[in-house]
Amino acid sequence: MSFGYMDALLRFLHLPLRLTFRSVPVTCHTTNHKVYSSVAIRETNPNFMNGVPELLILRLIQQQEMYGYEIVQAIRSRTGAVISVGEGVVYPVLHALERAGALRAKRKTINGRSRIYYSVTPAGSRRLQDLSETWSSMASAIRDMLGGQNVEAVP
Amino acid sequence: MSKLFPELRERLLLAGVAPRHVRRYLAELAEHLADLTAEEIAAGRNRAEAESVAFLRLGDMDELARAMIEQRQFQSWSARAPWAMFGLAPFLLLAGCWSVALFILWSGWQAFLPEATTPLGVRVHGIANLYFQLGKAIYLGAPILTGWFIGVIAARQRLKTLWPAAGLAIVAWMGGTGQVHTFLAAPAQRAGHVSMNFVLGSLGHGIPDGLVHALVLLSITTFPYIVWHLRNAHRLA
Repeated sequence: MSFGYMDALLRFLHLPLRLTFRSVPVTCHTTNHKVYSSVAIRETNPNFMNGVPELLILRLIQQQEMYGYEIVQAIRSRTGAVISVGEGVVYPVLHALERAGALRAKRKTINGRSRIYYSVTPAGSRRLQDLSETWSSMASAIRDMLGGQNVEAVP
Repeated sequence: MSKLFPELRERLLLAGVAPRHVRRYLAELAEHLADLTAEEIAAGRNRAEAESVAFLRLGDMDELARAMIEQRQFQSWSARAPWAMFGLAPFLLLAGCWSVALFILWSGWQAFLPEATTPLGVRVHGIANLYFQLGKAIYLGAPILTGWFIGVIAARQRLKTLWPAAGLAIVAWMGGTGQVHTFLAAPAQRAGHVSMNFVLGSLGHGIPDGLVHALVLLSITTFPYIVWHLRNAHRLA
C-alpha cells in the first residue's frame, strides 16, 4: 500500500490520537552532537490547518447537497472570509473524500446547468463527528491557553 | 479561454495523475470558472475583466496542480507500478489470450477432427471453420492488440519511453518466437495434445526467424506510438 492510501485509511478508521514511537534527533547542548531518543509523538494529532477543509466541507454538505462553487462561497460567507480556501483546490479534497466513501457525487442538471453535486454518506457523517470532536477539544485547549487558564509560572 | 487548462492537463498527466481524474478535475474547474465569471459580470465588470478576476480566484497553475498531485490515490497504475503495467500485465494478457486460443484449437480438434493426427493445415468448412478461425484470430491478434494497448496507455499518460518500450519488447519477443505444437502421445491415441514454446531460431543460418518475426511485430505495434510521439512533439513545438 502506498503511503497516501494508508494515511487515508488510518484517518478513516478514526485513530486521531495514535501514539507511535519514533527515533528523533535531539541536539545535546554541551557537546552540540545530535543524539537519538525514542519519544512518543502524536503523529496524527492535526497540525492546525490540516483537516480544516475536510471538516468545513463535511459540515456544509451535511445540511444540504452542494456543488463546488457553492461550497467555496458558503465557506467564505459563513466564516466571514476568515477562512478562505483556494477556490480550485477544493476539488481534490472533494474527490479524496468521495474516494474515501465520505461523500457521494452525482451529476445533475438544474436550470440548464449540469454540475456535480456532493452529499454526505453515513461514513462521512461519522467522520464529521470525529473531526468535530477533535477540533472542539483543540479549540477549547487553545482558548484556555489564550485566556490564561492552566498556565503555570515558568521559572 | 486561457492556456491554463491544456497546460494543467499536461502537467497532471506528466506527474502520473490518472487521465479520468484529470478529466473530471478540469471539467469541474471549467464549471467553477464559468460560475465565477458570471458572478463578476453580475458585480458590474466587463467580460474581459470578469474572466481575469475569475482566473485569479480559481488559483494559479502551481497551486491547482500541487493540490491534485499531492493526493497520491489519484495516481494511475502506470505511474505507481510501471513494472506491473508494462512488464507483468502484457505478459499475463498475452498468456491469457493464447491459452484461450490453444483451448479453441484443442477442443476443435476433438470435436470436429477426431480422426486427424493434427488440426493444423486441415481444410474444414462451416461451423468448424468459424470455430478454428476464431482461435486463429485471437492467437494472431493478441500480440498486436496488446502492443497497441501499451501505446495508447503510454500516450494517454504522457509516459517516458523506457517502460512502454520494455512492454513492447516483451510482446514482440513472445509474439515473434511463439510456436504452437500439436501431437499425439501414441499413434492409436485419439485425444491429442496442444502445446506452445518460444524459439528464437538457429543463429548458424543468418538472422533467426524468431528475431525477424519479433522485429516485424515490434514495428507494427510501435508504429501508432511513434506517430503519436511525432504529432505531440510537433504540437508542443
